[in-house]
Amino acid sequence: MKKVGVVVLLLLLVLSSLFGAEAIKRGGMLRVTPMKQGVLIQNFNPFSPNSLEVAVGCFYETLVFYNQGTGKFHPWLATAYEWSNDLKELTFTLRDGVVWNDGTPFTIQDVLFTMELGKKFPGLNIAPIWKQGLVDVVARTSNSVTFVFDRVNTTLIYRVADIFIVPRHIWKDVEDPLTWTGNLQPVGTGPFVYEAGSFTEQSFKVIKNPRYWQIAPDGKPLPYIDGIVYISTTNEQVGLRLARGEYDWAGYFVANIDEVYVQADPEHHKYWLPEGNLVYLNLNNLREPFNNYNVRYALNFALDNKEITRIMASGAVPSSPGWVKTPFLYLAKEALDKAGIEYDPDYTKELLEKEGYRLNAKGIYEKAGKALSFNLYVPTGWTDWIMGCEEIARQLKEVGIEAIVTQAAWPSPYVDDYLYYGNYEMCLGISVTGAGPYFQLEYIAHPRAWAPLGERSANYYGMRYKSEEIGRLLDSYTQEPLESKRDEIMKKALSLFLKDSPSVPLFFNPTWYEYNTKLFVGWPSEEDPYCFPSPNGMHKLPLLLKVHLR
Amino acid sequence: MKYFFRKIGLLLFALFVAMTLNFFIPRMMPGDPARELIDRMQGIPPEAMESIRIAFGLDTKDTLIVQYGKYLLNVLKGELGISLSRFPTPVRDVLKIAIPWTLGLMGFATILSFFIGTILGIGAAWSRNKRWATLTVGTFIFIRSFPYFWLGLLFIYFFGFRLQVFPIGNAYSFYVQKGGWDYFLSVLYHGFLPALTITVSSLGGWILTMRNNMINVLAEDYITVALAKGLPLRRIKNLYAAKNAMLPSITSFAMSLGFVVGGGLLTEMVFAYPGVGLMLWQAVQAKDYAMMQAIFLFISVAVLIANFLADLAILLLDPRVRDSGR
Repeated sequence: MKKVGVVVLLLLLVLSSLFGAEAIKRGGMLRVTPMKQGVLIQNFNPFSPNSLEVAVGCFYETLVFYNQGTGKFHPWLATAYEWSNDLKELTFTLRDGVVWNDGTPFTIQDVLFTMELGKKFPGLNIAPIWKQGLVDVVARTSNSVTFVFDRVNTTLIYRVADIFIVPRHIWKDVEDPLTWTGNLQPVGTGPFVYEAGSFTEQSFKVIKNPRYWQIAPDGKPLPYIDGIVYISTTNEQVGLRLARGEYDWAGYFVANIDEVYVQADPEHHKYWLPEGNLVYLNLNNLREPFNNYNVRYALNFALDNKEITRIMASGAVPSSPGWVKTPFLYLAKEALDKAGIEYDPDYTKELLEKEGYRLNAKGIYEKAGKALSFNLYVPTGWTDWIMGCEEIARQLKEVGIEAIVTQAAWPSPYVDDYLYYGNYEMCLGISVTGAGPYFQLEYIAHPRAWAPLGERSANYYGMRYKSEEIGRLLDSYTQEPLESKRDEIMKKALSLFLKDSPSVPLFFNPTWYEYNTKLFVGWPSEEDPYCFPSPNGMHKLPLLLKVHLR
Repeated sequence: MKYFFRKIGLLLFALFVAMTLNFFIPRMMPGDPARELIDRMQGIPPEAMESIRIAFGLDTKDTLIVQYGKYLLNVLKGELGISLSRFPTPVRDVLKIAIPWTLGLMGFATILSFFIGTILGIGAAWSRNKRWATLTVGTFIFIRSFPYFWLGLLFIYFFGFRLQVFPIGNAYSFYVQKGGWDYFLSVLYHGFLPALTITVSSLGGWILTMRNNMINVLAEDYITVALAKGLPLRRIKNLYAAKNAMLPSITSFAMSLGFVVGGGLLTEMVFAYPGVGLMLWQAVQAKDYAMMQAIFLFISVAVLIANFLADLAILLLDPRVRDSGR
């Protein structure tokens, strides 16, 4: 009997050691660059525009998490959310067993209190939702909170995903939550807590929260790492310090990244530049000749985006003709297949000639005495964009269009005069990609963002194009809670947009993301884009909860 | 005494002018701070613009003149306003962190450079026909013509990156506790390269000034008389020549001490040294008016006061000024 016991014990030991070898290794301090450069100031207030980005996500969390890398919503502090039948109420069921890092349980009172703050203080970043139709936040049961709206807009769930919940028992005594920097030891629900006394003007530490509600497969709370050391740097220095292996994760622009960073240790020094905002060749849809659909359409075939970004060498990511970021390309796929746009300069020429344009003596297309010759505006001093424009001008020249690269100061007159009032034919425009294609289209194609020439438009992201039909589709999108149906609406809207070919997408501004696999593994990458690797907001959480020692 | 009061009057007037310029110049810069902030934060919805304006107090309805009056009063009270780029931290608190680093690094390097440069200058003038003198002067004049930051980059590349014997940034290591011996050593270790950069590159100026003054003084009649009298050469060199030749150097030394407060903007940038220069650079990028104003004010006040003190020092050292001032 005794022998059997020993054998079983041994077997168990062997098994457990085998299992242990496969289990993820815990420990290690991750070395990260904060987004603030130079001298750091201890500000962990999630409502302050200048707080350290560690405050949101690492300390304070949201009810739901929107993963921009995948375009999907995930329950977070709430386990579920549900729209009422008339779509005017949104109810969140709170997660059980979540505690603040000081041991106090997280309850509906905290959510109600946080929302009330936004109502009382219009300067807070959570305030805008009160102007978009939110009229009340109530608790109908002991573990759910209901947001009551006076109009139907299901896209407001994206706004809720930006609201960081703060503990009532700490914040109720705060006089002005906007300017409060007194929370030197922040009480949050997040996976990390501030290590007391570690703050200096150039670094600070956060350590894992032993009370965190997310449990790893090994039965212990996440994260796997022991903590994070934030070490400040500057744009001027970061390249060399990355090359020396001083950081595990950085989010900074590095010139000649392959030579400076990767070459120093090709096995471990990696980077991935996911897509940020879209930069496009803005063709003024209300001015000649770009008020002519055929001319705009012809330009779709004239530019080689890969070559343009190669010349820029700034990490910009070439865009497909689909306007949206890769995670959302499935929405544009049908329309793209139909359009069949690819780089084909000869086809541009063919189309222009069909339109009645003839080459003049200078090799520029001309119709009725008007040559296709314009200023191509670019913000003064934005060197990578300027280089891109030079290349665009060269490529356009080959199809018989003259673009004269002209620098103009940002924001005045570039934004304040040209973009807002439509005083240009051709310039580089920005399409804010936001949380998804809905926002992108709303800013540039919805009639309410549009204004005639000489009048100020609602934003400066568009090209003076509008479509009543897209406007109606977008409006119906806001009335639709079901994701699958929303996708159908978006597919229609995108195909209309692409069919009208209002301008030509060029490249995405990169989101800078360098990582070092020498000590830690589990990073998101181009092959495994499980999240958007930005240090801002909640984006960083999936990364921080997944990386672990090698 | 009249000389003294005239100098004080001049100082006060100059301070007022500096404060006024300090208020108006940043406001003439193009651009909108709120917009700047929004452009930096990717994908912020335009609806949030209003919140940000309120948060930063950019929704003020005061006219420029009222703002100016408030500014003057606040400065007199020692309130420098709230930093826009580090809102809601007061500018005063931010500067409190940065100033000691700058004073330490720049002050130390400037003083060191002044002493070494002056001594070398005296020697170079005294033995101006020797080869070592020409060589030293030539070398440092050559180095002086490099921009600070370029020399800094060179040092970083060789000592920090290639040889890896010195850190390439920050003021001390993150792995030592503040205070204590380790911390002190770490500060010295991190300060070495930036201090070396500043000292080496500014040495040429001190050598040249001192050498030229000294050569002028050596041609004076009283030196010839002293030589003829057979006084010890050392005594002539140090007490007769150097002491008098140093007067212009002292003035420029006092001036450069004033500029120390401003920090070596480029040096601090290159070395990511958490001082006033780096602060200023970041404030300009962020259109942080309050911060810029405070730093510029600091620099102007320090330079004016240093200038004033230099005048006083000359008053003590130079009997010609003292007598004509009476």
